[in-house]
Parts: sequence; C-alpha cells; structure tokens
Amino acid sequence: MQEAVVETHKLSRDYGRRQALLNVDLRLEKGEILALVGPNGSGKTTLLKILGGLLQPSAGRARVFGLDPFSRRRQVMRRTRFAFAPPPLYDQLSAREHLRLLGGLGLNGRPPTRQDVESALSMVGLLGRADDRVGSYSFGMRQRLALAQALVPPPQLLVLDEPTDGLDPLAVLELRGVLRRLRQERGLTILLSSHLLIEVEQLVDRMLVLEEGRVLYSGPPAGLRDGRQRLHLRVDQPHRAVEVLREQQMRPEASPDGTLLLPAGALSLSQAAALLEASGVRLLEFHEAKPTLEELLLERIRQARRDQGLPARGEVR
Amino acid sequence: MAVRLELLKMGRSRRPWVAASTLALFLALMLFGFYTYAQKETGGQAEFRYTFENASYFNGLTFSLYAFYFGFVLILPIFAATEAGAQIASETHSRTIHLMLARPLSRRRLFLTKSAVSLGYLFLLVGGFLALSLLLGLVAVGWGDLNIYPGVLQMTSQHQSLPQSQALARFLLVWPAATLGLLTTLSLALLLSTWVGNPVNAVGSSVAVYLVLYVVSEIHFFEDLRPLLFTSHLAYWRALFQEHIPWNQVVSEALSLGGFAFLFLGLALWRFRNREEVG
Amino acid sequence: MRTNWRGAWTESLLFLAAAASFLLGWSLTEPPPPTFGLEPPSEGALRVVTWNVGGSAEGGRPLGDELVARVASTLSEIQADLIALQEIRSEQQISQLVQRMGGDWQAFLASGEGSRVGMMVRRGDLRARSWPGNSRFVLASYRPPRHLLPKSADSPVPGDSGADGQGERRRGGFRNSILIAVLHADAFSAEKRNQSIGAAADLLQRFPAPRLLLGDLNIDPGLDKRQDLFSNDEHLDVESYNYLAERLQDAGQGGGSTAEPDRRLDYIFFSREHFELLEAGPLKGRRWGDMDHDPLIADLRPRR
Repeated sequence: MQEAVVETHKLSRDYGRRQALLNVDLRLEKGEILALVGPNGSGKTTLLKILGGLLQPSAGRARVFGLDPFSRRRQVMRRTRFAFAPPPLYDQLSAREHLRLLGGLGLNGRPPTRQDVESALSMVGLLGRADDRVGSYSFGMRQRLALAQALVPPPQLLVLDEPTDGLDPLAVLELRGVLRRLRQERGLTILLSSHLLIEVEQLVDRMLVLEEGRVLYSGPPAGLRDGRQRLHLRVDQPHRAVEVLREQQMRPEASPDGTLLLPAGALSLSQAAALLEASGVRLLEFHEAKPTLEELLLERIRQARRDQGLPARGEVR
Repeated sequence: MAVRLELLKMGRSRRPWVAASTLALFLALMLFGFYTYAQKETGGQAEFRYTFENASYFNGLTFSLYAFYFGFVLILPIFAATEAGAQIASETHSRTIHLMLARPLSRRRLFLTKSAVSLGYLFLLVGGFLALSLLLGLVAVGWGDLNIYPGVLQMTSQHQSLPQSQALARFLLVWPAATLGLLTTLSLALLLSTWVGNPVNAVGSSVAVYLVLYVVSEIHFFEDLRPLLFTSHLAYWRALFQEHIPWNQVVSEALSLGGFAFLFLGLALWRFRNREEVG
Repeated sequence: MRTNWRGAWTESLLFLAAAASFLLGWSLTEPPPPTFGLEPPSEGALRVVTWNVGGSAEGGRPLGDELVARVASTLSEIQADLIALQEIRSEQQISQLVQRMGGDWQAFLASGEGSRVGMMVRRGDLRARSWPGNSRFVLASYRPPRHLLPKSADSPVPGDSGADGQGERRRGGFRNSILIAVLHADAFSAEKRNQSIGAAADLLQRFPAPRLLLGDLNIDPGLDKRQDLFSNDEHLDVESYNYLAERLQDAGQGGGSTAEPDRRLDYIFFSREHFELLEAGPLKGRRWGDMDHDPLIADLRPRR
C-alpha cells in the first residue's frame, strides 16, 4: 500500500479540561484534496497545528510523509507548506520580500528563483503590489499573500487554514481555480480547512467533518447526501394520503405545510398518481428535493449535539 | 537567509531608532548635569568644604565614563530586554513565528540566529553609545587624562590616572567587555520571552527581574547572596580603567557572566525547542 | 510539555559551557586577604595599630570592663609601638590596659564623657591633647627611639605653644617627633565626618613633620559597597576619603574589611614621604562579645 501523505490514528488533543480533538483518524493520499470542515472551535486548526509540528498530540499518532511532525518538523517542512489563518505576516516587509526570504529559509542559502516568486505572486494576483509593505494590504490581499508564500518553493503538500476567509466571491472562485491547477499541473496534495462547506464542496475529493473535536463524517461531499434525498408530495387530502401510503408499507412524514415526505426512490410519479387517485386523493405536486450539503451538514451537527446533550447553535435550552 | 531576514526585520522596525534617540537624549541630559555639577564644584559652590574634585578632574573622558556607566546599568539593559522580547515574544504574539516554523528550519537554528542577531545589535548599540559619549565629551568638554578616585562609581580603591591615549584604548576594551555584561540581561530576557507570549509582559518582567537583582546586588544585607547574582558582576569592566588591569579579576568575572549567559541561553533554547505554539 | 530529546545536544553544550565558565571563573577568584601575621615587626619598623574596641549593642557602646583583659592580651600579642584606641569608657580602663600589658607604656585618654579615644606608646615619649569638648579626637606628638624616626623628622610639631587643651598630658611639643591624629568620626552623619576628617587632614598638612592619622573614620568608599545605612550622603564620604588620600597614604588598602558587616571603616594613613609601608591588614578573630571591629595593624619603615 502506498504511504499516505498525511495520516493520523486515534489522534487526540486536549487543552486542560477542554477536549479539542478526540480519536481522529485521517488518511490523505498523494494528489488528493481534502477539506476539514466544521464550525469554529471544532478542532480544525488544532489538527492543522499538530500536522505543522506546532502542537503535540495528547494521545494517538500523527504522521506527515511518514514522519512525526513535531520532532521531525524540519524534514516535514522540506515538502510541506502551510498558510495559517488569519495570515501572520510581517507588516514591515513587502510581498516580494516575504516570498524571497521566507522561501529561502532552511535551504542552505539558496534563495527561491525569481521565476518562482513572480509566478506565485502572479497566481494570486499580487504582482502589481509586490513591492508595497504588507502593512498597507487589505485582509483579502494578506490572505492571498499567505497562499503565495506557501507556494514558494513549490511544495508537495499544501496545507491551508481557512483560505477563503475574507475573500470576495470572485476571489474564492479564482482560488478554487488556482488550487485545481496546482493539483493538475504539479500533482500537489492539498489539505484545507473551512467552516463554509459551500466554498469547498466543488473543489475537494473528500472531506472530514469535525464537531467538538470528533469526526462526524469522512468521505466525499456527495456522500453526505446518501439517504438524504426526499420525495415531496403535495395532495388535497394529506390525512387520507398518509393512510393510503401506510397501507403500502411506507412511512411518510408530514411537514407543517401539509407536504408529505418520502425517501427518494420510494415511488415513481406514475405509481404515486395511480395509488392516490385510486383512493380519491388528488396529487397536486410531485418532485424530488435535493437539500444542500450545507443544510445536511448543519443537520448532522445539530443531531450530533443533541446526541451529546449539548445545545445546538442558536438554540436555547 | 535566516540572518538576512532577521536583519531586514530589525532594520525596518523602529527599535534601533528608538534606542539611538533615547541614548542620545540621555547623553544630552548627562551633559547638562555634568556641566552644572562641574561648574558648582569648581566654582566653589559645593555644599561641602573638603572636596577633592577640581577643574582638571572634570573633562570629556570623565564625562564619557560617567555617562556610559549610568547608561550601562540603567538604560542599556532595557534595550537588551526589548530586543529579546521583540525576537521571540513579539513574534509569538503576532504568530509570525508560525511563518518561520513552517519552513525547513530547526528551532535550534532559528533560536541561535535570533540570539546572534540580538547580540550583534547589542554590540553595535554599546559601541555606538560609547562612541557617541566619547564624541560628545570631546566636542562639548574636551578630552584630557582620566583620573579616577576611590568611591567614584565604585571603580577603584586607589587613585588611578590614565593618560588620554591609554584611557581611549581602555574605552575600546570596554566595548566587548560591557557587551558581555549585557549579554546576561539579553539571555535572561530571551529566556523569559520563551515563556511569556506577550512582548510587553516579556520585556516588563525581564526589566523587573533585572532591577530587583540589581538592587539586591547593591545592598549590604545580601552580602552572601551577591556573588551568586549576575548583576553583581555586570560592571566588571570598570576594572579595565585601573592603571594596572587586574586581569585575574576581570577574567574571573567575565567567566562568571559568561556562565550565566550560557545557562540562560541553554534554558531558553530548551524551552523554545520543546514548547508548543498554542496561541 | 514533553521533552524532544532530538537535538538536545545544543542545550547540553550550552549547559556544559556554563558549568565550565563558572568553575573556571571561580578558580580564578582571588581569596580574601589573609589576616595580619603576628610575627614581631622587622627591625627598624614601627608597628602601628588602631582598634575600635567598642561593641554594637545598644546601638554602639564603649568597651565593656569584662573585655579589658582580652583586649590587653591581644594588644600584647600584636607588639605594637603605637596604639590608637576608640570607644574607651574610662581612665580606669586605659590604666588597666597599661597594667596588664606591662612594660614601659605611656597612655593618653581624651577628656570627656562616654565613648573616648585613647593612645598608648611603648618606647619613646608621647605628648597628646584632646580637642576642647571633643572626646573623639586626639592630637599628639610622639618621639620614638632614634632608629624609628624618619630622616626628615626634625621639623617642629605643635604643642610647644602651650595652648590650653583639656586633658593634656604634657605641655609642649618637640622636634624629632611624629605628629599623630587619632579620630573616631561620627557614625551617623557624613557631613560631620567630612568636617572632622577634613579638619584633621588640614591640621596635619600644616606641618612638614612625619604624620599619621589613625582611627575609625566610619567611611567606606570601597569597591561595590552601596546603600550604606549609616551614610546620609555617600558622596560626602567619597569626598572625605579622597581629600585625605590626596594628602596621606592609606596603609590598609586592599587589606579587606575591618568591621561588620564586611566594611572597611578603620584606617591608618601616613605621610608617604616619611614612611614606607611594609605590611598592613586587619587581625581577624579577635572580637569578643558584641565587638564589631578588628584591630588594623601596619608596619611602617621610616624613610631614612
């Protein structure tokens, strides 16, 4: 079996009484794009910090390129670049100086090539202001510079913490394009975190959903939808329709507006129409609804919180 | 590359300018005090009748020595602590330390680079301060032979008289010697700034610890404790102004200070290598 | 925090360097000056001693009668030619000292009450007077045997004018004598110390004769001594010392402390053109009860 680029096994981390991560298993293969998704405080940054050798696990194991990132950080960082959030940068230096000097750190005095620097700056759209002090940059520009510095010199693994934070929709779109291109052209493995699933769902191969430090879901984004599509049936006599469907061994749910919900694929349109009309119920509307990933994710998070006896966000107990 | 980055950061920061301006202001104040005091003494307006101080005693070299001594014990340690605080605690606070740790650079090398750059800065600061005080002494007062009397700045137990050229050579020797003295404060501040994440707290606690130890090392009560404090040895360079330099004593105290500096640096490195970046 | 032992060699090296520096530095530390050796003074040398024999109890008190015998025994051991004492309580004490020490001692005690300064000489002739109303200052002329006299000792010393000094032992001064001031300067006022030390220095300086100034001056401008609780103005003490040191040579320099706590308060100053310093230093281990000073001894060879 090929060695995973990133692998964690029962990884846990606490800050005193607070459990930030609990038994997290993760495997990231070469060339994959994986997103860590979860609300603020779910443990995403803690996980990234452990992988970056900034924190040590309380229990379990983390490996990057097969190495312990805390004790072998230097070796890990030869092939890995990080962009932390919010972007820590030196206000008194320019973007070009960031790339040139940071890019040369630990490379035995070999500065990155001019071409690498220009290409990274151009990729994030900062070439025009490359020589301005970073102190004068907007948050979005800082975010882009954080990404650019992580591309010099070109890494094998790119780790981005909340890379879409502070970016306008167009910039988010561009970022997605950049990351796709990096994977296609350089075979980059990318691990990123976000609390907004909508911004990464089209980009990533897999995602790991974290809530209160626990893994809630691990797999492709589409997998969140498994078993979650619903048939929406609107009828003129909802009560009668429920009885009819139950007689057919189905378990419809009734929404407050009278719409009946059935699992996707339970009936075809013609079957439904025939069945209901045979009992004198008129079918007014029939469609299959696809909830957004965001809705599904929120539902899962709420469910997880209910299971743990915690209040859901926005709920008052 | 790490050194270049550190130098560029330091060059672009305000720290060197703040330090230089403060020291220049201090020298101006010292000059004013020196003039008025000398005038009062030699003009016969002193409050005491039996005095050894006379016009030939007050010259530019005496001024430079006074100014450097007080700057050394009271002002330069603050800048040493500030530099150390900026190198570690400030980068921790602004999380820019993450940027450097996300590079293939060992924590050891990062720490040693920062320490070396701070030491270089301190060396230049001490040299600049010495040069400026000597220049001001020459321009505003005029050099001459250097006379040092017992009790004055606790420098000697018998009257010492150094011809001008010899005194200037001694000032040159004081440069590295005083830097070594301040290295202890710098390394103490480096140690504290690896524990304290906030630069203001790091610098504040370093200065507070220095002042407490300095005061304790100056009080008779703590006679037994004094040799164990690095602050008791800090101004060992004063012996370099004796006609016959007591090398045994100078080397012995320099080694003690070196011991403290190595100890603090070792502890700071141990802490820095093993600490987590929680913030 | 778990220790990462990989790469710990750098810290180990730094700790080793620290230990080596401390050890080497400590090995180079000069030991404190040894106590004064009590061999008899070399032939032709004048042995001079000054000793504040009072105690520290009750904020400072004169010599207790119970300690007179021990003081006498120590002074006999020292075999001095000239003894300056401070904090003597009474004539009776000085008589007891003379009696116990035996030999041909001449003694003088300043007039007044409480803590007084006194002098004793063996061999030779002593003329002394205390300052009117001051029990802590004695001016004397001492004519030692010929071989202990500096070459240029034929200048007249004061005393032959017959001024009215209280407690005068013998009127008149003489040629071929050493002019001596014994002083116990104020313990609590630097200003008073500055005045008395300055006046004594000026007085001695008026005469070209061989000169000695002895006593507990209560000043310590030595290295690295600060925040002296007994000084109301440290600067004045520096002034006092240097004023004196410009005129006379300090015999006890480098000899270490003479009083608790680690302070050099007792001094023997001599005119450098008349004497050569052979050896000087405090005699350790001779304090009893609440005594807080060591005797300070100097062997001076007259320049001939």
